Amino acid sequence: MDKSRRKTTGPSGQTDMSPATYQGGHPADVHQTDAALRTAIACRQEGRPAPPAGMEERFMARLAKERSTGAEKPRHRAAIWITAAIAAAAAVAIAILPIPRTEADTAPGIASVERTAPAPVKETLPGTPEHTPAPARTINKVSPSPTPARTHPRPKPQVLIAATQPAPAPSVASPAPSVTSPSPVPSVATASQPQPAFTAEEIRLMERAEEMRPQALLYAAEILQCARIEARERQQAIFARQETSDHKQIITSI
Amino acid sequence: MNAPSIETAISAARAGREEGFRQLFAAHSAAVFALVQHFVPDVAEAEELTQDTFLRAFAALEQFDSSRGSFLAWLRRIAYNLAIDQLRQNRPKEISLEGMAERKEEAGILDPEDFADETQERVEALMQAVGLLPAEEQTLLTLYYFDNLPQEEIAYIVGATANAVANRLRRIRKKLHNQLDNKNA
Repeated sequence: MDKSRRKTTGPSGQTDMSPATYQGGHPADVHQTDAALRTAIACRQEGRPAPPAGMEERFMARLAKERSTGAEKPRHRAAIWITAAIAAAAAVAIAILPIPRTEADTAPGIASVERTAPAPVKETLPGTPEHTPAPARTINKVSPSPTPARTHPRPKPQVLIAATQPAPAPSVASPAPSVTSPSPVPSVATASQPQPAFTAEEIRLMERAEEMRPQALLYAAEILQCARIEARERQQAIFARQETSDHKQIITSI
Repeated sequence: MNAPSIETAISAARAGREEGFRQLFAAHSAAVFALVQHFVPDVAEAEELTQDTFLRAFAALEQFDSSRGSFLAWLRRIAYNLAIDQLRQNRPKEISLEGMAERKEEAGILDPEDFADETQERVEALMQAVGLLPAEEQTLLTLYYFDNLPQEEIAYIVGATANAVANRLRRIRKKLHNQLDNKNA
Protein backbone atom coordinates (compact mmCIF):
# COMPACT_ATOMS: atom_id res chain seq x y z
CA MET A 1 0.00 0.00 0.00
CA ASP A 2 1.44 3.27 -1.12
CA LYS A 3 0.48 5.55 1.71
CA SER A 4 2.19 8.62 0.31
CA ARG A 5 0.19 8.37 -2.86
CA ARG A 6 -3.05 8.05 -1.02
CA LYS A 7 -2.22 10.83 1.38
CA THR A 8 -1.28 13.31 -1.35
CA THR A 9 -3.86 12.43 -3.89
CA GLY A 10 -6.52 11.16 -1.63
CA PRO A 11 -8.55 8.10 -2.40
CA SER A 12 -9.19 9.23 -5.94
CA GLY A 13 -7.32 6.19 -7.10
CA GLN A 14 -9.95 3.99 -5.50
CA THR A 15 -12.72 2.83 -7.73
CA ASP A 16 -15.46 3.96 -5.38
CA MET A 17 -14.12 7.49 -5.37
CA SER A 18 -14.00 8.11 -9.09
CA PRO A 19 -16.02 11.15 -10.14
CA ALA A 20 -18.10 9.05 -12.47
CA THR A 21 -19.37 6.82 -9.68
CA TYR A 22 -19.51 9.30 -6.83
CA GLN A 23 -22.98 10.74 -6.42
CA GLY A 24 -22.25 13.32 -3.76
CA GLY A 25 -22.14 16.41 -5.92
CA HIS A 26 -19.68 18.17 -8.13
CA PRO A 27 -16.39 16.33 -8.57
CA ALA A 28 -14.46 19.34 -7.39
CA ASP A 29 -16.41 19.30 -4.17
CA VAL A 30 -15.63 15.62 -3.82
CA HIS A 31 -11.91 16.15 -3.70
CA GLN A 32 -12.32 19.18 -1.54
CA THR A 33 -14.51 17.23 0.84
CA ASP A 34 -12.11 14.30 0.84
CA ALA A 35 -9.08 16.40 1.59
CA ALA A 36 -10.90 18.29 4.30
CA LEU A 37 -12.28 15.03 5.64
CA ARG A 38 -8.85 13.55 5.89
CA THR A 39 -7.62 16.60 7.74
CA ALA A 40 -10.66 16.65 10.01
CA ILE A 41 -10.25 13.03 10.96
CA ALA A 42 -6.58 13.51 11.58
CA CYS A 43 -7.38 16.41 13.86
CA ARG A 44 -9.91 14.33 15.71
CA GLN A 45 -7.49 11.47 16.12
CA GLU A 46 -4.77 13.83 17.33
CA GLY A 47 -7.18 15.29 19.80
CA ARG A 48 -7.95 11.91 21.28
CA PRO A 49 -6.27 10.95 24.54
CA ALA A 50 -3.22 8.77 24.27
CA PRO A 51 -3.14 5.34 25.93
CA PRO A 52 -2.77 5.87 29.64
CA ALA A 53 0.61 5.40 31.21
CA GLY A 54 1.28 2.04 32.75
CA MET A 55 -1.23 0.25 30.55
CA GLU A 56 1.37 -2.27 29.49
CA GLU A 57 2.31 -3.21 33.03
CA ARG A 58 -1.29 -3.50 34.06
CA PHE A 59 -1.96 -5.71 31.10
CA MET A 60 0.99 -7.97 31.85
CA ALA A 61 -0.20 -8.38 35.41
CA ARG A 62 -3.67 -9.24 34.19
CA LEU A 63 -2.25 -11.64 31.63
CA ALA A 64 -0.23 -13.43 34.29
CA LYS A 65 -3.31 -13.76 36.44
CA GLU A 66 -5.39 -15.05 33.53
CA ARG A 67 -2.75 -17.59 32.60
CA SER A 68 -2.45 -18.86 36.17
CA THR A 69 -6.20 -19.32 36.48
CA GLY A 70 -6.37 -20.75 32.98
CA ALA A 71 -3.89 -23.48 33.97
CA GLU A 72 -6.21 -24.61 36.72
CA LYS A 73 -9.18 -24.84 34.41
CA PRO A 74 -8.25 -28.17 32.78
CA ARG A 75 -7.85 -29.88 36.16
CA HIS A 76 -11.12 -28.43 37.35
CA ARG A 77 -12.78 -29.54 34.14
CA ALA A 78 -11.36 -33.06 34.50
CA ALA A 79 -12.70 -33.30 38.04
CA ILE A 80 -16.14 -32.30 36.83
CA TRP A 81 -16.05 -34.89 34.06
CA ILE A 82 -14.96 -37.67 36.41
CA THR A 83 -17.74 -36.82 38.85
CA ALA A 84 -20.29 -36.78 36.08
CA ALA A 85 -19.06 -40.10 34.72
CA ILE A 86 -19.33 -41.75 38.15
CA ALA A 87 -22.82 -40.40 38.63
CA ALA A 88 -23.87 -41.65 35.21
CA ALA A 89 -22.42 -45.10 35.86
CA ALA A 90 -24.26 -45.31 39.17
CA ALA A 91 -27.51 -44.31 37.51
CA VAL A 92 -27.05 -46.96 34.82
CA ALA A 93 -26.23 -49.61 37.41
CA ILE A 94 -29.34 -48.80 39.42
CA ALA A 95 -31.48 -48.94 36.32
CA ILE A 96 -30.07 -52.17 34.88
CA LEU A 97 -29.04 -54.43 37.76
CA PRO A 98 -31.83 -56.67 39.17
CA ILE A 99 -33.32 -55.87 42.56
CA PRO A 100 -32.64 -58.58 45.18
CA ARG A 101 -35.84 -60.48 45.92
CA THR A 102 -37.13 -62.32 48.96
CA GLU A 103 -38.04 -65.99 49.04
CA ALA A 104 -41.72 -65.19 49.00
CA ASP A 105 -41.32 -63.10 45.86
CA THR A 106 -39.50 -65.72 43.91
CA ALA A 107 -42.13 -68.49 44.09
CA PRO A 108 -45.08 -67.41 46.11
CA GLY A 109 -47.59 -69.93 44.89
CA ILE A 110 -45.48 -73.02 45.21
CA ALA A 111 -44.15 -72.06 48.60
CA SER A 112 -47.64 -71.53 49.86
CA VAL A 113 -48.85 -74.92 48.79
CA GLU A 114 -45.83 -76.77 50.04
CA ARG A 115 -45.98 -75.27 53.49
CA THR A 116 -49.69 -75.46 54.01
CA ALA A 117 -50.39 -78.81 52.45
CA PRO A 118 -48.95 -80.95 55.27
CA ALA A 119 -51.17 -79.24 57.82
CA PRO A 120 -53.42 -81.98 59.11
CA VAL A 121 -57.11 -81.39 59.22
CA LYS A 122 -57.60 -83.20 62.45
CA GLU A 123 -55.30 -80.92 64.37
CA THR A 124 -56.95 -77.72 63.34
CA LEU A 125 -60.54 -78.78 63.14
CA PRO A 126 -60.84 -81.86 65.26
CA GLY A 127 -64.60 -81.95 65.17
CA THR A 128 -64.88 -81.63 61.46
CA PRO A 129 -65.21 -84.76 59.36
CA GLU A 130 -62.42 -85.35 56.95
CA HIS A 131 -64.56 -85.04 53.87
CA THR A 132 -66.06 -81.75 54.97
CA PRO A 133 -64.63 -78.77 53.14
CA ALA A 134 -62.87 -76.23 55.27
CA PRO A 135 -64.77 -73.15 56.28
CA ALA A 136 -64.53 -70.12 54.06
CA ARG A 137 -62.78 -67.98 56.66
CA THR A 138 -59.82 -70.28 56.72
CA ILE A 139 -59.51 -70.31 53.01
CA ASN A 140 -59.59 -66.57 52.82
CA LYS A 141 -56.30 -66.35 54.63
CA VAL A 142 -54.67 -68.29 51.89
CA SER A 143 -56.33 -66.67 48.98
CA PRO A 144 -54.15 -63.51 48.68
CA SER A 145 -51.19 -65.62 47.82
CA PRO A 146 -50.60 -65.35 44.08
CA THR A 147 -50.32 -68.74 42.52
CA PRO A 148 -49.02 -68.34 39.02
CA ALA A 149 -47.28 -71.71 39.11
CA ARG A 150 -49.88 -73.69 41.03
CA THR A 151 -49.87 -77.28 39.95
CA HIS A 152 -52.79 -78.95 41.68
CA PRO A 153 -56.35 -77.78 41.12
CA ARG A 154 -58.66 -76.55 43.80
CA PRO A 155 -62.00 -75.87 42.16
CA LYS A 156 -64.14 -75.87 45.26
CA PRO A 157 -62.09 -73.45 47.35
CA GLN A 158 -62.04 -70.98 44.50
CA VAL A 159 -65.81 -70.97 44.45
CA LEU A 160 -65.92 -70.50 48.17
CA ILE A 161 -63.47 -67.60 48.04
CA ALA A 162 -65.46 -65.84 45.38
CA ALA A 163 -68.62 -66.28 47.36
CA THR A 164 -67.29 -65.02 50.65
CA GLN A 165 -64.76 -62.28 49.96
CA PRO A 166 -63.07 -61.00 46.82
CA ALA A 167 -59.47 -62.00 46.77
CA PRO A 168 -57.05 -59.08 46.87
CA ALA A 169 -54.87 -58.48 43.88
CA PRO A 170 -51.64 -60.40 44.06
CA SER A 171 -48.73 -58.14 44.87
CA VAL A 172 -45.04 -58.84 44.77
CA ALA A 173 -44.23 -56.26 47.41
CA SER A 174 -46.72 -57.57 49.95
CA PRO A 175 -46.38 -61.28 50.40
CA ALA A 176 -49.29 -63.24 51.66
CA PRO A 177 -49.38 -63.78 55.38
CA SER A 178 -49.58 -67.52 55.05
CA VAL A 179 -46.42 -67.65 53.02
CA THR A 180 -43.93 -66.54 55.61
CA SER A 181 -45.56 -67.78 58.77
CA PRO A 182 -46.71 -71.32 59.24
CA SER A 183 -50.43 -71.26 59.52
CA PRO A 184 -52.15 -73.56 62.00
CA VAL A 185 -55.46 -73.26 60.24
CA PRO A 186 -56.42 -75.53 57.40
CA SER A 187 -55.39 -74.35 54.05
CA VAL A 188 -56.21 -74.87 50.45
CA ALA A 189 -54.75 -78.27 50.62
CA THR A 190 -57.11 -79.11 53.46
CA ALA A 191 -60.11 -77.78 51.65
CA SER A 192 -59.28 -79.69 48.55
CA GLN A 193 -58.68 -83.00 50.21
CA PRO A 194 -59.92 -85.79 47.97
CA GLN A 195 -63.45 -86.88 48.73
CA PRO A 196 -64.09 -90.43 50.01
CA ALA A 197 -64.02 -92.83 47.16
CA PHE A 198 -67.32 -94.09 45.64
CA THR A 199 -67.84 -97.61 44.68
CA ALA A 200 -67.97 -98.64 41.07
CA GLU A 201 -71.66 -99.18 41.29
CA GLU A 202 -72.26 -95.76 42.68
CA ILE A 203 -70.16 -94.18 40.00
CA ARG A 204 -72.02 -96.08 37.33
CA LEU A 205 -75.33 -95.01 38.75
CA MET A 206 -74.27 -91.43 38.91
CA GLU A 207 -73.13 -91.55 35.32
CA ARG A 208 -76.35 -93.12 34.35
CA ALA A 209 -78.27 -90.47 36.20
CA GLU A 210 -76.33 -87.82 34.38
CA GLU A 211 -77.20 -89.43 31.10
CA MET A 212 -80.84 -89.76 32.01
CA ARG A 213 -81.22 -86.25 33.28
CA PRO A 214 -81.93 -84.59 29.88
CA GLN A 215 -84.34 -87.33 28.95
CA ALA A 216 -86.11 -86.97 32.28
CA LEU A 217 -86.37 -83.26 31.68
CA LEU A 218 -87.91 -83.94 28.30
CA TYR A 219 -90.36 -86.35 29.86
CA ALA A 220 -91.25 -83.86 32.52
CA ALA A 221 -91.83 -81.15 29.93
CA GLU A 222 -93.98 -83.49 27.90
CA ILE A 223 -96.01 -84.52 30.90
CA LEU A 224 -96.46 -80.91 31.85
CA GLN A 225 -97.60 -80.06 28.38
CA CYS A 226 -100.06 -82.93 28.36
CA ALA A 227 -101.43 -81.82 31.66
CA ARG A 228 -101.92 -78.30 30.34
CA ILE A 229 -103.72 -79.60 27.24
CA GLU A 230 -105.90 -81.85 29.31
CA ALA A 231 -106.79 -79.00 31.63
CA ARG A 232 -107.64 -76.74 28.75
CA GLU A 233 -109.83 -79.38 27.12
CA ARG A 234 -111.53 -79.98 30.40
CA GLN A 235 -112.27 -76.31 30.79
CA GLN A 236 -113.56 -76.13 27.23
CA ALA A 237 -115.83 -79.09 27.91
CA ILE A 238 -117.16 -77.48 31.03
CA PHE A 239 -117.73 -74.24 29.22
CA ALA A 240 -119.49 -76.03 26.38
CA ARG A 241 -121.66 -77.91 28.77
CA GLN A 242 -122.65 -74.72 30.53
CA GLU A 243 -123.34 -73.02 27.28
CA THR A 244 -125.53 -75.90 26.15
CA SER A 245 -127.47 -75.79 29.35
CA ASP A 246 -128.00 -72.08 28.92
CA HIS A 247 -129.36 -72.62 25.43
CA LYS A 248 -131.69 -75.26 26.73
CA GLN A 249 -133.01 -72.89 29.34
CA ILE A 250 -133.65 -70.19 26.71
CA ILE A 251 -135.42 -72.63 24.49
CA THR A 252 -137.42 -73.84 27.38
CA SER A 253 -138.39 -70.33 28.33
CA ILE A 254 -139.48 -69.47 24.84
CA MET B 1 8.29 -3.01 14.86
CA ASN B 2 9.00 -4.67 11.54
CA ALA B 3 7.49 -7.82 10.21
CA PRO B 4 10.31 -10.23 11.20
CA SER B 5 10.22 -8.89 14.74
CA ILE B 6 6.48 -9.40 14.80
CA GLU B 7 6.89 -12.97 13.65
CA THR B 8 9.51 -13.58 16.31
CA ALA B 9 7.30 -12.10 18.97
CA ILE B 10 4.38 -14.21 17.81
CA SER B 11 6.50 -17.34 17.97
CA ALA B 12 7.66 -16.44 21.46
CA ALA B 13 4.10 -15.79 22.56
CA ARG B 14 2.97 -19.08 21.11
CA ALA B 15 5.72 -20.73 23.15
CA GLY B 16 4.30 -19.03 26.21
CA ARG B 17 7.21 -16.70 26.79
CA GLU B 18 6.38 -13.44 28.48
CA GLU B 19 8.60 -11.28 26.32
CA GLY B 20 6.58 -12.27 23.29
CA PHE B 21 3.36 -11.04 24.84
CA ARG B 22 4.99 -7.87 26.02
CA GLN B 23 6.48 -7.05 22.62
CA LEU B 24 3.22 -7.60 20.82
CA PHE B 25 1.29 -5.50 23.27
CA ALA B 26 3.83 -2.71 23.17
CA ALA B 27 3.80 -2.68 19.39
CA HIS B 28 0.05 -2.67 18.80
CA SER B 29 -1.73 -1.48 21.90
CA ALA B 30 -1.85 2.14 20.77
CA ALA B 31 -3.51 1.25 17.48
CA VAL B 32 -6.06 -0.96 19.18
CA PHE B 33 -6.66 1.68 21.82
CA ALA B 34 -7.33 4.27 19.10
CA LEU B 35 -9.79 1.98 17.39
CA VAL B 36 -11.83 1.16 20.46
CA GLN B 37 -11.97 4.82 21.43
CA HIS B 38 -14.52 5.32 18.65
CA PHE B 39 -16.86 3.11 20.57
CA VAL B 40 -15.94 3.83 24.19
CA PRO B 41 -14.84 7.42 24.72
CA ASP B 42 -14.02 6.73 28.35
CA VAL B 43 -10.30 6.13 28.70
CA ALA B 44 -10.61 3.48 31.42
CA GLU B 45 -13.19 1.57 29.43
CA ALA B 46 -11.07 1.86 26.30
CA GLU B 47 -8.07 0.49 28.17
CA GLU B 48 -10.09 -2.42 29.49
CA LEU B 49 -11.41 -3.16 26.03
CA THR B 50 -7.90 -3.01 24.66
CA GLN B 51 -6.70 -5.47 27.25
CA ASP B 52 -9.66 -7.72 26.50
CA THR B 53 -8.69 -7.65 22.86
CA PHE B 54 -5.15 -8.78 23.56
CA LEU B 55 -6.24 -11.43 26.00
CA ARG B 56 -8.65 -12.81 23.44
CA ALA B 57 -5.95 -12.72 20.78
CA PHE B 58 -3.33 -14.41 22.93
CA ALA B 59 -5.78 -17.11 23.94
CA ALA B 60 -6.44 -17.86 20.26
CA LEU B 61 -2.95 -17.22 18.99
CA GLU B 62 -2.76 -20.60 17.29
CA GLN B 63 -5.64 -19.58 15.06
CA PHE B 64 -3.84 -16.57 13.65
CA ASP B 65 -3.14 -17.02 9.96
CA SER B 66 -0.67 -14.54 8.58
CA SER B 67 -1.76 -15.34 5.03
CA ARG B 68 -5.15 -13.73 5.65
CA GLY B 69 -3.82 -10.47 7.01
CA SER B 70 -1.35 -8.80 9.29
CA PHE B 71 -1.28 -9.37 13.01
CA LEU B 72 -2.47 -5.82 13.57
CA ALA B 73 -5.41 -6.36 11.22
CA TRP B 74 -6.29 -9.48 13.17
CA LEU B 75 -6.09 -7.54 16.42
CA ARG B 76 -8.26 -4.80 14.98
CA ARG B 77 -10.80 -7.32 13.84
CA ILE B 78 -11.03 -8.75 17.35
CA ALA B 79 -11.17 -5.28 18.85
CA TYR B 80 -13.87 -4.20 16.41
CA ASN B 81 -16.05 -7.19 17.24
CA LEU B 82 -15.61 -6.71 20.97
CA ALA B 83 -16.35 -3.01 20.65
CA ILE B 84 -19.45 -3.65 18.57
CA ASP B 85 -20.68 -6.16 21.14
CA GLN B 86 -20.11 -3.71 23.94
CA LEU B 87 -21.71 -0.92 21.97
CA ARG B 88 -24.82 -3.01 21.39
CA GLN B 89 -25.04 -3.79 25.07
CA ASN B 90 -24.69 -0.19 26.14
CA ARG B 91 -26.34 1.61 23.26
CA PRO B 92 -29.28 3.78 24.34
CA LYS B 93 -32.50 3.00 22.55
CA GLU B 94 -33.35 6.62 21.84
CA ILE B 95 -31.09 9.60 21.29
CA SER B 96 -32.64 12.85 22.32
CA LEU B 97 -31.80 16.25 20.90
CA GLU B 98 -30.18 17.15 24.19
CA GLY B 99 -27.99 14.10 23.87
CA MET B 100 -26.98 15.19 20.41
CA ALA B 101 -25.98 18.61 21.75
CA GLU B 102 -23.96 16.96 24.50
CA ARG B 103 -22.13 14.86 21.97
CA LYS B 104 -21.27 17.99 20.02
CA GLU B 105 -19.84 19.60 23.13
CA GLU B 106 -17.88 16.48 23.96
CA ALA B 107 -16.35 16.55 20.53
CA GLY B 108 -15.01 20.03 21.24
CA ILE B 109 -16.52 21.45 18.10
CA LEU B 110 -16.31 25.19 17.62
CA ASP B 111 -18.57 27.17 15.40
CA PRO B 112 -17.04 27.29 11.91
CA GLU B 113 -17.96 30.94 11.63
CA ASP B 114 -15.25 31.72 14.18
CA PHE B 115 -12.66 30.87 11.57
CA ALA B 116 -11.89 33.28 8.77
CA ASP B 117 -10.14 30.66 6.69
CA GLU B 118 -12.62 28.90 4.48
CA THR B 119 -10.67 25.66 4.54
CA GLN B 120 -10.38 25.74 8.26
CA GLU B 121 -14.08 26.47 8.47
CA ARG B 122 -14.80 23.46 6.33
CA VAL B 123 -12.54 21.23 8.36
CA GLU B 124 -14.23 22.29 11.53
CA ALA B 125 -17.63 21.70 10.02
CA LEU B 126 -16.51 18.24 8.96
CA MET B 127 -15.15 17.50 12.41
CA GLN B 128 -18.50 18.42 13.82
CA ALA B 129 -20.36 16.29 11.34
CA VAL B 130 -18.04 13.31 11.81
CA GLY B 131 -18.49 13.58 15.55
CA LEU B 132 -22.19 13.04 15.08
CA LEU B 133 -21.77 9.90 13.02
CA PRO B 134 -22.30 6.48 14.56
CA ALA B 135 -19.22 4.81 15.98
CA GLU B 136 -19.10 2.22 13.21
CA GLU B 137 -19.01 4.90 10.52
CA GLN B 138 -16.42 6.91 12.42
CA THR B 139 -14.30 3.78 12.63
CA LEU B 140 -14.59 3.21 8.90
CA LEU B 141 -13.52 6.77 8.15
CA THR B 142 -10.62 6.55 10.56
CA LEU B 143 -9.38 3.26 9.19
CA TYR B 144 -9.64 4.55 5.66
CA TYR B 145 -8.50 8.18 5.93
CA PHE B 146 -6.27 8.15 8.98
CA ASP B 147 -4.80 4.69 9.08
CA ASN B 148 -4.81 4.48 5.29
CA LEU B 149 -5.83 0.89 5.24
CA PRO B 150 -6.93 -0.65 1.97
CA GLN B 151 -10.57 -1.46 1.66
CA GLU B 152 -9.83 -5.18 1.67
CA GLU B 153 -8.18 -4.96 5.07
CA ILE B 154 -11.00 -2.80 6.41
CA ALA B 155 -13.40 -5.39 5.11
CA TYR B 156 -11.46 -8.07 6.98
CA ILE B 157 -11.58 -6.03 10.19
CA VAL B 158 -15.28 -5.24 10.11
CA GLY B 159 -16.31 -8.59 8.71
CA ALA B 160 -17.70 -7.43 5.39
CA THR B 161 -16.77 -7.52 1.73
CA ALA B 162 -14.62 -4.89 0.08
CA ASN B 163 -17.54 -3.78 -2.05
CA ALA B 164 -19.69 -3.34 1.01
CA VAL B 165 -17.01 -1.23 2.62
CA ALA B 166 -16.75 0.90 -0.51
CA ASN B 167 -20.50 1.42 -0.59
CA ARG B 168 -20.62 2.33 3.07
CA LEU B 169 -17.78 4.83 2.66
CA ARG B 170 -19.58 6.36 -0.30
CA ARG B 171 -22.79 6.75 1.67
CA ILE B 172 -20.93 8.31 4.59
CA ARG B 173 -19.25 10.84 2.34
CA LYS B 174 -22.53 11.69 0.70
CA LYS B 175 -24.14 12.17 4.09
CA LEU B 176 -21.33 14.48 5.20
CA HIS B 177 -21.49 16.41 1.96
CA ASN B 178 -25.21 16.96 2.32
CA GLN B 179 -24.78 18.11 5.89
CA LEU B 180 -22.20 20.64 4.81
CA ASP B 181 -24.43 21.88 1.99
CA ASN B 182 -27.35 22.29 4.37
CA LYS B 183 -25.19 24.20 6.79
CA ASN B 184 -23.92 26.54 4.09
CA ALA B 185 -27.38 27.07 2.62
